[in-house]
Amino acid sequence: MDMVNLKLTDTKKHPITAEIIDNLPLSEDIYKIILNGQDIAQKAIPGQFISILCKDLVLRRPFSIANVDGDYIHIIYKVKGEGTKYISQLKSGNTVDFIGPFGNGFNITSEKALLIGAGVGVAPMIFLAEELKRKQIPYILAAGFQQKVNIAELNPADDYIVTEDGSSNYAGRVVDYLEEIINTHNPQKIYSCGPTPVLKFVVDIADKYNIMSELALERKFACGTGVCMGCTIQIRENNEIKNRRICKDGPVFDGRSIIW
Amino acid sequence: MVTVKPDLSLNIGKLKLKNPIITASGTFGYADEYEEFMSIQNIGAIVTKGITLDPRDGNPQPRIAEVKSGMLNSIGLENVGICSFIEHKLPILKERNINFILNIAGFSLEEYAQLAVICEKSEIPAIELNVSCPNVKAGCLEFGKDQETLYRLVSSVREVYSNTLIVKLSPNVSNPIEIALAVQKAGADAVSAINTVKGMQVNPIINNGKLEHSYIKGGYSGPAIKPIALSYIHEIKQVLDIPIIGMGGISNVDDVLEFIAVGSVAVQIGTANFTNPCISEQLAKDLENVLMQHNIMSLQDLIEGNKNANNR
Repeated sequence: MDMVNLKLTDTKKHPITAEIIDNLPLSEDIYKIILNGQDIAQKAIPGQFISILCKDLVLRRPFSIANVDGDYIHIIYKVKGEGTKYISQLKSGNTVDFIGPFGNGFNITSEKALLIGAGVGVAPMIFLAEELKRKQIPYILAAGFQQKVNIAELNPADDYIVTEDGSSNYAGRVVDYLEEIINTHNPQKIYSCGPTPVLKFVVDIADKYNIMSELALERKFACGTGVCMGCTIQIRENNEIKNRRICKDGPVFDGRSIIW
Repeated sequence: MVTVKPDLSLNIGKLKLKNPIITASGTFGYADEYEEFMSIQNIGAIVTKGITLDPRDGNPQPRIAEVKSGMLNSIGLENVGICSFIEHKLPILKERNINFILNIAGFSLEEYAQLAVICEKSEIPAIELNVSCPNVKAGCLEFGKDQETLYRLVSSVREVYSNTLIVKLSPNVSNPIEIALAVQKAGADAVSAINTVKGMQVNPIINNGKLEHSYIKGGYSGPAIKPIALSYIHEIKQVLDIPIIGMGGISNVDDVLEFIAVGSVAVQIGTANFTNPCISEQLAKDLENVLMQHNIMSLQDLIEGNKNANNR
C-alpha cells in the first residue's frame, strides 16, 4: 500500500534517515561511524546518546555520541552482537535510521576535570573533552583499551592512553594509573564512562580523594524514552533508595548516589 | 477519491475514541513521556503502564532481551502505585485532554476490587484489568487462567466500577473460549487480546567441557507473536458479542487491517512504539488514508463490510 508520509512538526523528535559519511575500523572490533545528523548534531551535548535502528531488529541500539562536527555526529562502537555487526557493514553513502539525542548529558562545571574512559566508554569522554576545550576548562584525559585503538582525537603527548597489551605510552589498565594521575594533576571533578568494574573503582578512588564524580551508565533497554522500565538502577537520594531509569533520568549520575 | 475525511471514531463501552489506534500498556508510560515525539491527541487512546495498589520496584536485572522478531520483557510491574498516579499523572492526562485507559493489576481478588473503587471515585474513564502478566510470582496470570476465578474477579470489579471495563486476556491458557465467555458474562465492556506470550532466551556456553547457561524468562512480544494473536482473536470472536481490542506485533497499517479482519474493533500498538516512538500517530494517519483511497466512509463501514473470502 502506498502511504502518504505523515508530516511531523519540527518541534517533535522523530527518526531521521541519515547519510553515512564514513564508517571505519579503529581496531579489530572497534569502529567509528560518522552520520549526517543535520540539526540534531548541534543540539547534542556530551553524555547524550542516539538510538540506531538496525535493519530488521525490533529494538534500537543506543550509542553515546563521541563527537559532533558541524552537522556530523561521530559514534565509536564495539562490534558485539547482531546490531553492531549490521552497523559495521554499512558503507559511506548508505543511510541509517536514528533518533535522538536522548538522555541528560554531563553537568559541565568549571572545576579542573579528570576524564576516564575505558573501552568504548572513551567515546563520550572525547566529546566532553572537546566541550571543555571550547569552554577553556582544564582537564586530563585517561583512556584505557585492551589493545591499540586509532582514535585521532587522543593525543599521546597530553592524554594518558593505557593499553593492556602495552602498545601505547602506558601499559596495563587505566585504573592502575588513577591515583598517580590524581596526585600529579589534582583534579576537582571526575567524569567517567566504561564497564561497571571500572566505574566502581573510579567511585572508590573519587571517594578516597573526596572528588565529585559523574558517570555515564549503560544497560539494555527497549525504548530509550523512559517507558519500558528495562534499564532501571537504584540510586540513593536524600537517604532514600529510588529506582531511576538510565535512559531518561540518566545516563549520567552522581557516582556517590549509585547502588551497584 | 472522497475528499471528506472518513469517520474513524468508535465507542468502547462509554469511552469514545476518535480512531481505533490505542497504545498498549507498558509501552507508552503515562503518555507524558511521548509528548516530545507526537501529538497524543491524534490517536484513539493510550493504556497506562500497569498500576498496582502499592508502588512496586519490579524485577531484578536483566529485564529485556531481543529475540527473533521480537523481545522478551520481565519488568515485574514496576510502577508508582495508584495513589501517586492519581496525584501526579492523572492531572497531566486530564489537562492535556488525553483519552486514557488505566491498566490495573492486583495480587488478590480484593485488591482488584479495591483498585476499581479508587478508579470509580477518581472518575477514571476506562480500566483494563491485567489478569495476564506473566512476570510476577503471585497474582495476575493466575487469575486469568481459570474461568471461574476470573468470573468472580471481573464481577466484583463490575459491581463497583461503572465506566468502561476492559479485560486483557492471556494467550498462555488452554481454554481461551471459556475464559472469554466468563469475562463477557461477568459484565466486561470489552476484551483486549493478546498479552505477551511466555518465552525464554537461553545463553549456553561450554566451559572446561561442561555445559553452563544463563537465561532470561519473560513475556514475548513483537512481530513474531502476530500469528498467535490473530488466531486467538479469530477463535474468541466466534463466541463473543462484546468488542475485541486486538494486539500482538502490529507495526504497520496492513497489520491493523489484519486484526480488524479477524474481528477486532480497535487495536493496540505495543513493541512497535519502541522501534519508532512516532508509530501510533503514523498508523492513525495511514488508516485514514487507506479508507480514503478506497472510498470507505467510516471505520464502521470497514468493519461491517468485512467478509471471509475463502470460506474456510
